Amino acid sequence: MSVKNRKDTRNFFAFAGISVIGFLAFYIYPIVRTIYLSFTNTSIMDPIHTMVGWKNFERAIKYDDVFHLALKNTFKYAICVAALKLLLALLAAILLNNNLKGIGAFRTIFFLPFIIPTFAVSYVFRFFFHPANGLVNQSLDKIGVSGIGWYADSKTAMATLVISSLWGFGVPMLIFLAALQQVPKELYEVANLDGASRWLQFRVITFPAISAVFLFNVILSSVDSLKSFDLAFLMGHGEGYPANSTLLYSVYLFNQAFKNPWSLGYASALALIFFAILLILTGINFRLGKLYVKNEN
Amino acid sequence: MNKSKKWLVGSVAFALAFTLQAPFAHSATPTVTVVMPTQWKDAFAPEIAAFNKSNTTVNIEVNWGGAQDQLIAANKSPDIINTGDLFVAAQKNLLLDLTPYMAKDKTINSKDFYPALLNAVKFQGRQLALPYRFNVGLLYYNKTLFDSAGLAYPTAKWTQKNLITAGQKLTKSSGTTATQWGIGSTFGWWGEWLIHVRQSGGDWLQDGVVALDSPEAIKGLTFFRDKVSKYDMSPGPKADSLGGFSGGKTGMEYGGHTGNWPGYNAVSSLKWDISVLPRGSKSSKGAELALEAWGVSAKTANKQAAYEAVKFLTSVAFLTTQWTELRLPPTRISVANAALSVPVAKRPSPQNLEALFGGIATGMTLPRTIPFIKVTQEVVQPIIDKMLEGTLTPQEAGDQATAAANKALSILQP
Repeated sequence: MSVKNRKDTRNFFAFAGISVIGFLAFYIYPIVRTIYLSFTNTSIMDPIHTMVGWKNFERAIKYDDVFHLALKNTFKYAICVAALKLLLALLAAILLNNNLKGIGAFRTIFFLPFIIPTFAVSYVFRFFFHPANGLVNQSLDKIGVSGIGWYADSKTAMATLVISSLWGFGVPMLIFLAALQQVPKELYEVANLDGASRWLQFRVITFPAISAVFLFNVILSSVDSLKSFDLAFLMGHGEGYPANSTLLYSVYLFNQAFKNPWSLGYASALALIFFAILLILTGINFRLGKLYVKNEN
Repeated sequence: MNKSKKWLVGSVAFALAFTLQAPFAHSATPTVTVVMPTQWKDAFAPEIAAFNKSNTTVNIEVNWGGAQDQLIAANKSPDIINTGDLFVAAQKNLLLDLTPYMAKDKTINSKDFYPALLNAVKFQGRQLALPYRFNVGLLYYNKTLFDSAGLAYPTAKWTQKNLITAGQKLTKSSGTTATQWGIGSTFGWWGEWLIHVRQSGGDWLQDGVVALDSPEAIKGLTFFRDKVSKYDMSPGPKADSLGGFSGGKTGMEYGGHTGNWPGYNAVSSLKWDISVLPRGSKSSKGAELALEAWGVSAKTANKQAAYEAVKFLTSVAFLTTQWTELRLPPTRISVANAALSVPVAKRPSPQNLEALFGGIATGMTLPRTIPFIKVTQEVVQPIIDKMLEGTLTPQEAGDQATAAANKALSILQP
């Protein structure tokens, strides 16, 4: 090895070494450890554990009715939240994509909810949707409409959770906004001259131009919604209350690992099943993306 | 060797000697760690500091406000572990068997512990912890609201009929909005429906299988629902609970928890007391009896020292401080007797300590099996939630809960 090559190698390890160590310690090791734990009956409160083969996976897939319910709830939640969030983000981005005076302030206002901690958001929404003395039911009462149970009723709790989750569409909105600003203005000028309607302009110019970003946001929003935890945990008392109606996969997984009987092995198996589901869904999203993503050329 | 080198060698030797002697100076008294809530600091810190000063066998180091579960998960378990009757099954290999330590200890006076409490943290013949506080199902009542309504305070002779009559008289509303509740309710917690089931003569298990479909259990579930929907004296899941019992606008609390006492006593305007929980059936064996206890980590490097620390934390002196300063019910008979010897009128709330300590004899401990909490909370609780919403009748809820819980147990039981 020449002196230069040795120097290059040394420099490579000097600069990349820390991130490689970090990657191994904080990504690879936990993944390997999770795979190992998923084949054991490990409990946090029991120093003795044994290998149980595929039993944890078998229990989850074949017998665990609560797991099946949590999975169903999660899909329902993720589809609704991801679709509505994307729609709201796109609408807001289109509205904010102009050069009006003070538009920067509006952009900040729309993004602001994203930086508010979820626990604070959950308290605000609990106050809004309290069935007896919440702002929403009291307002409905004033116009002669009787309110509903919102988060305290198993029939409406999931819808309440979905509504409460929509406040944080700031990130996909910003991504859409950045993409919209890249669309050449001349295209719209020509379309206007030809008398194309707003909807036609969106369909023929805007959407094709931002379709790659749209796919990115679809993947980001769906993965984000599928692994939602904090709001569901806080609003459902950490148990999916009422009647397991807001029990999401991640909450159920957390409860298996960190609540009596602290079954870390079983929770690891659930985590791997979830990983496989996310992988498959992301693959499907990519395949679907091929139907609408237009090549830049 | 020149002068400067001599100085250097001398300095290094001094530094080494100083560094090396330090750990040996401390090693004479082994230190054991324990996690305690920050709220206990003012009451316990002086007592523990005095103990550390007065003995040479163990030094207790308290992690105030620490997270015990996380420490155990991170393999940094404290030497002394806060456990309880509901946890010993899952922690059977984490906790040291204290039986041999107690057998050779002539000063522990284990007969001073209430036998029911001591037995509740015994698992598979091994004494895994020593109890320090307990909870029994009681009837809590707000004296001010009873006085305002001209009602006599509850007594041990009260039946469920008395309870319903008083509950309805205590309930007040303005239009359709309740301004005062007769009895409080807790939702989303297995302990709440189970106490109603037990008070009606039913139980979680009968002959090893879940029996929430027994006529007694159905009677208990029916009463749990009827408090809200038939007698209109208790807030439903969608109603405003008006701050619960500590909010001062709830006449009674059915079952309750002794762990809430410090919170109740922190509300200066709340004048409250306890009574024996009325039974819904003569066949009822008693309400809940649960407890917390101090155990020793099997991984501790100082087993004897940790045992001494647990012994101190459950000693007559320490439990007396725990009772007088925090009102956490003590588990030793002598401490209870001292509390009972204080004239009723001179006792701070609650004054009816006869009901509290008498409840130990009649209370029923909970099953010490690993899946108990998991199945009651994850499988049965959602069905009870639906019953309270009116989607299921108590009979349907009892039947569905029994079938679902028995199925879950058949998968989870080792």
